[in-house]
Order: sequence, then C-alpha cells, then structure tokens
Amino acid sequence: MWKEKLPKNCPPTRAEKRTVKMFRVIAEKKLTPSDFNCYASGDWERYKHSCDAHAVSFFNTLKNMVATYKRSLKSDNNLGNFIAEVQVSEEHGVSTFKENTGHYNVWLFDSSQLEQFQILSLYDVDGNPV
Amino acid sequence: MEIQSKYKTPFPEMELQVIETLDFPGFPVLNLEQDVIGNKYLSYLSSLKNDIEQRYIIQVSDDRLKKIYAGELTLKNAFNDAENRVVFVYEFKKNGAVKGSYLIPIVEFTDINPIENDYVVPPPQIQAVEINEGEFINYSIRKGKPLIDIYIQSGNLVNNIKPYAIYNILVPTVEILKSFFDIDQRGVNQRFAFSNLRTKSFGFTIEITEMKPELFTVANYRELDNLIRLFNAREKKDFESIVEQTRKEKYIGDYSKIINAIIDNDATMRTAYANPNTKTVVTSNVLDKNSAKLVKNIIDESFDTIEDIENIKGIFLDINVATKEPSFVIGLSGDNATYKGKIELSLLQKIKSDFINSGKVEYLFTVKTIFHPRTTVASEKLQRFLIDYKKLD
Repeated sequence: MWKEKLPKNCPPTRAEKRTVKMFRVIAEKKLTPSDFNCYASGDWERYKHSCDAHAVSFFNTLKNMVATYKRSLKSDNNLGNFIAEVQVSEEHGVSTFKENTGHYNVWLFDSSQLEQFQILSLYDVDGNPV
Repeated sequence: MEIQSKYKTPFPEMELQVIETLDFPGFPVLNLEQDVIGNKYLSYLSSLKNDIEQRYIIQVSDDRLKKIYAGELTLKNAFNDAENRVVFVYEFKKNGAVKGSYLIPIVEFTDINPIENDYVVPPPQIQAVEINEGEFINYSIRKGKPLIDIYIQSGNLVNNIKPYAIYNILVPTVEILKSFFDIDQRGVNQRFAFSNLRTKSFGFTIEITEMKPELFTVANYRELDNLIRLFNAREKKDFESIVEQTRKEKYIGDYSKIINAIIDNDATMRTAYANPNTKTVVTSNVLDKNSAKLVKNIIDESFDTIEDIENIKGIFLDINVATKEPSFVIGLSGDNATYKGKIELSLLQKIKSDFINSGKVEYLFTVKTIFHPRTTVASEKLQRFLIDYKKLD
C-alpha cells in the first residue's frame, strides 16, 4: 500500500487524505523520482523507526518553503535548486499538517506515480518565478 | 562545522537512539534521543553534508524537558546552560556509526552556539489517554455514585496546569451540569465533588451525590447522556435535538467557553460517565481543535436582526431609572397588552424632569423593537427600547 516500508504505527491516525497545492524544493526544472524521496530512503540507519523520516515534506506557502530552504543552508544541507508548486491529491497519499510551520508530512501510496504530479509554478530558491 | 581536535573525546561514544524527531521539516533538525540506560538527550543538527550528520547534543532531565516543551526555557539557553555543563558533538554516518565525537564545556560552547534565539521547540505529539473503562466503573461502584471523568490534553499542560483548564473547562463543565440538573449555587457543594485529579495534562473526576443513591433516577442519567451528546455534537441536527430536550439555554454559553479554550490551546478533551447500577460506561468522542471549530461555527451562528419602530398609545405602568439599565413597562390603550423593555439613555433626563404620572396619563410612545431570529442553539428573542414619548391632550 505504501511507497516506503513504514515503521509500526505509521502513518499516525491523524493523517488524512487531502487535495492541496503544496511547495517543495526539487533538484532541476523538471520533476524526477528522486525529488520525492523521503529522508529514510537515504538508508539512514538511525531513522528507520521514525515515521517523520518516511514522509515526503512539503510546505503550504512559498514563503515557508523559502524559509526552510534558508534554514537548511545554515546546516550545510542543500535541498535543491528550485521550488515547485504541485498539487498533492487524495490519490497520492495521506498527510499531517503543522499549522505553526506550514509543514506537511506526506506518506505516499505505492500507487502514486511521478506522472501524477505536475508543476503548477516554478520558483528559484529565493522565491522568484522562473 | 569543523570542531577543534582539542575537544575530541578520549573515551568510547555513548550509544544513542533516536526516540522522537521533534522538528523534522524534511531533515532531522531536533531529535529526542536516549542512551542505553534511559538518559534523555536533545540533539540539534549542526551540519549535514557528505552523508555525515553532525549534531550538538545535551543530556536533559524530564523536568527540564517539560520546561522546554512548555516554552519556559529556550533551546538556545538549554544548550548554553546544559545541566551536566558539557555539550557533546557527534558525527553520525548513515549506518549509525559515530565517525567523530567531541566534548565542549558550555563556557566555550556559548560562543559558537548556532541555535537561533527564537527557535521554538515543537512539543512532541501527545499520546491520547484512553479511559480505562474497567477501572472507572470499579471506582464508581466503590464510591457508590455516578461519576463523570474528564481528561484534557494540550502541549501547554505538559509541565503544569494552566488557569484556562480550570476557569474555561472545569468550571464551565460544572455550570453545564448545574444547568442540566437544575441545581443552584447553594446546592453545588452538596451535589458535586472532585476527585482523582491528575496532573499529567489535566484529568479530573466529578462525583455526583444524591442523599439517597436510589433517587438518582433514569431521568438523571438522561441528563448525563445529554452531556455526552453535547460533547459529541458536531452538526446542527445534533444541537437541535439536545436543545429540544433541555430546559435552559445558558449551558450553551458555558460550552462555548470550553470550545474556545480547546481551539485557543490546541487541546483535546475526552469525557465519560460511569453508571454504578448498570455497571456501564458511556464515553464521548474526542473533542479536538478541528471538531471544536465545527462546533463553534454552529454555536456562533447568527442571522440578521429585524428592527421596527412603532408609535403606540398607552400609559406608563412602571419606570425604573435607578438601575444601570433603566427599564419601562407600558400598558397599551384599549388593550390588556403590555410592552416592557429598556429606556434609551438619551431619554433619561427628559423622564426625570417630566415628573411622569404613571398609570393615569395617556402618552404616545415611540418604541423600537429588535427581533433576533431563532438560531440552532438559541430561541428567538425580542428587545424593546423606549426612544420617545409625548403626552396626549
């Protein structure tokens, strides 16, 4: 059912299906499968039991995405080169949302395909339209 | 960040296990970790490159952790003032092995502390407390009375109990019960008591006492059912059905306080009551921020008021200008009907100086009527204001 092998009690029961436009940092101007990799897919042994690490992160606004990108740079962690606005829908997976940070965790269904995602708008990492 | 070799630890590294990712916006900014003997650590990501995670780590006690979650201590200050006076720096490889480990005394760490002053630690997701029905019913049987159990959970109740939990949840719950059971303030201490107070978040049991337990009738249990139905109501039809079965509407105002407290504090509330006679427990659904918002929309529902101004002949039957909200009663000429309401403040001086002769002299009154249509939770209401009068010859 799930794209990743999820730990026990994951996703949390509060995760729900929703259709929302979200923002995510991607590597290039076109989407590639690796743009939707979760942290755990990098084989980080210490996070194999973390439910968050098995989710793909998105943000509700361009502003929140840019802020998180800049924050990641402070820890030498370059997430990518562009920010894409994409529509994440019910058929892609289930998600939780944190109001204070605007962060979505999305646990993707096995059936979700790259072709199902379309870039609605593309920005550079400072938030300027490309 | 490059750490000077003088800080390198000469002893074996601790075995740390990630037990919770507290801030994970796609990468692990802040973790709660644990060593093999159960000590807890906060670990902050300082660098993530070349498949190496470098983290600043401090040991943290449960009390201090609660303070951090409650926002009473910033993460930056928690590191600057680490309890065991040192900050560990570990470099983890992907396979979990430690590539390098360092130990920095806090007096030196404060100069390089990279954590932002305003960094807020998100409290961990609270595990919902389930009411243990078996224990609850046994407690009710031992007490020999019906019990209501309420449990409130919120990130801001982790460290201590905030006043809102008392004033905006506990007290309004008692007010709702007073309204359902038709008990006035004088009977509160005889009829209600609190027990089994819990401070992990906030739980309390309300004991309901009858002088003779057998007097707690089926009708009384129906009121407890109404309480659970009220806390379960999410749609208009649910509220309409409860309002139909209850005598007063005041409890809606009290429930509104509870709803607002749940929304403002991102809290959850669970309720159950135990019937010691039938040995049953009735449990409500969880009321959380999202469901409270649905309820608030229904409770706050309002429709446009309708205003009308009419001139009517009649006599003053009563005038009270000595109160904060001066009032009037007038009898309509040729009719037994009366109008009563409030006197517009601008008319007060005229009334005082006119030496009104009530009950005898006929006047032409100008009265403004405001009609408030019925809503899901409130019945229709008429308000009348006397805005002018003229003595008839």
